[in-house]
Amino acid sequence: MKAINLLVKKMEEMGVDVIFGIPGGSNLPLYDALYDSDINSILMRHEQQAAHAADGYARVKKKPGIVTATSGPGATNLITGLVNAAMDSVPIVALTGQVIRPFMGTDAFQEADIVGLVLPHVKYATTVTDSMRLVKEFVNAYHCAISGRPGPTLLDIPRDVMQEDISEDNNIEIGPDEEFRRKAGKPSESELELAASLISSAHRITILVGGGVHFSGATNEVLRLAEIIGAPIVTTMPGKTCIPQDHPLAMGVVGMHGRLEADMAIINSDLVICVGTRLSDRAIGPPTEFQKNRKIIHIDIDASELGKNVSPTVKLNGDAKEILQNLISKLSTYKLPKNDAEWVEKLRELRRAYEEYIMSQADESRINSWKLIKLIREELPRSAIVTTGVGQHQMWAQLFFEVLEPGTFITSAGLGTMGFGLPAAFGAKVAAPDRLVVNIDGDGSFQMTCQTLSNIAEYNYPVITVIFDNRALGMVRQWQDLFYMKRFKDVDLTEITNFVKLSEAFGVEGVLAQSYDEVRKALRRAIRNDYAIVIDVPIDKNEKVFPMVPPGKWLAEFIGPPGFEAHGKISASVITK
Amino acid sequence: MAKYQLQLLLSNKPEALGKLILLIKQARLNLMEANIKRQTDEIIKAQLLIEGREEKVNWLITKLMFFPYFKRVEYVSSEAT
Repeated sequence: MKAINLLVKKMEEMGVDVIFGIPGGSNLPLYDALYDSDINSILMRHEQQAAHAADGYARVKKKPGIVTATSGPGATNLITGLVNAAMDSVPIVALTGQVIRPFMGTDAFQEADIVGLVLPHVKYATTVTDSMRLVKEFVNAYHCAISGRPGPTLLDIPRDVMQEDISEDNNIEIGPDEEFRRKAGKPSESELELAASLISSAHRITILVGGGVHFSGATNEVLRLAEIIGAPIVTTMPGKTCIPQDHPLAMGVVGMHGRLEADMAIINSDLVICVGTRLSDRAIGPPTEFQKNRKIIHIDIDASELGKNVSPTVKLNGDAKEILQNLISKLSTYKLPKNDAEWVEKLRELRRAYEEYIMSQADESRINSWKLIKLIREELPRSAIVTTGVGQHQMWAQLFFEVLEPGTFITSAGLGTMGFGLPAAFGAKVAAPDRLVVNIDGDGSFQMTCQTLSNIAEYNYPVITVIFDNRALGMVRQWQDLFYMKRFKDVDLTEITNFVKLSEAFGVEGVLAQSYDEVRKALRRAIRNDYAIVIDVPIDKNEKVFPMVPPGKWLAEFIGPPGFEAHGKISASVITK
Repeated sequence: MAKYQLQLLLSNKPEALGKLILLIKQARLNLMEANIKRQTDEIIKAQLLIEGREEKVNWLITKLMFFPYFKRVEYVSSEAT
């Protein structure tokens, strides 16, 4: 049997059901093997989109997304998608074809050192030069991608390795080597005692939730802990998907474009319990400020994150779900903290006041982005999955889209990859065909990967896209406005491109919606009939995302929307600058 | 700043050595000396002398074990500079 046929057989056994990719000279044997397989291969239009689709799939299924590309440009096109997955800790296994072994190292046609190119950003990458090891390497790469802190892996396979005949006997029953499924750490009893004692003696505790809670499946444990100690819950951008926003203690996303009540929950805290987060600059601002005047308990499965950006008071290395269960159990032997209930109520008051303020700013002559986000939420069932591109629309979604069920918000957080939204939505729909999937996009972001519409039409995985169309690279424009004295350069996009016609050219209905009512009608029609649609919604390019913390500044130095400070209903006592 | 001597066992693959150098770069440490020997067909033994901040060296030691290329990482000695 050919090595590649044995590999495909093993992939089927391991539960691989979908592979996203594009064939080419060097990975053709893989496609030939897939011809006789039950694995559903999806022909994407660009390898970057294939990687993002595998990413969206992986986040929904909580198992590795599989992607393939040919050697050279096919492989290099994957890189952005793989780095994106690395930054957001998403499991992907990439299988790239490579030129045949005798040609390797000769600058042969379509030869690129893809292993060397992705090495800084993946958990594991190798060129498989021994056909007898092909299945073993896949098993290793698959387990590596999902074990511990998830991330991408890559196997680079020369075409002649795929085609070599090997014995079927000794390859099929193999499991991963030990170093490819290392066990998660486990905090000591004394570390848990110290954490419990800190919690017991604190008065203003905030829980900061990161994306690690998603793959750990620790949402219930976070909520339970918050309820026991009465602590507000804030999240990072990847953590947003973990917490139902209708929970009374949920305060929303913290950081550069965080909710005010979330930022205040951090600023006013005396103890922050950080769960499954690498504490990036976008979430917490300067680490020196973050760790000033407060104690920090940091829980993470990746031991190298503990102390990397912030020096925590207590480091708890291991799986978030398991640690939180142990911590909750440990807390039962301690005096429960008297978290300041009045403070938590003031945070809620701030939330209500901010919502009231923002509603009062609605300009009925045009569509306001935040109001459009709320309209989308109103129209979707709780279980709908929402993806975003990157830019202002993403920040509006972060601020105003309320996640109601865990795992329903997918975005490119760490790398900030424009064009992520549509292919990720497609991958999510492939993973969950029975659920509604909506891509909230910007016009700049959409144009980077809009060929995925072709897949949406061809494979009949209906995804709804709403384009927040300000004909600008809005977030860059906002920075030029605020920090570069309005010297707008190369941020305005042409009016020529017609998104309705473009969508229809790909076989997806396009609609220009110029009022809330038109958006609502188009959305309802697509949801009712379960078909794909692109709704192009013109918005004002001068609309900015607020609040905003200037880059490098502490959360307390936020810039509020114009007129907000003077808004009489905001409780001054809760805003601490 | 101090000098640190580390001893590692890693896969006998060019990718493993590449990853090691890339992680030293990411930690913003200076590589002063490297002694690399094949121990078996599968394993390489490396002794490194690196210079930098202690917390970065600690990060490197922990991060190395995140990747399957590395079997064992040992801190041997340090010397203030």
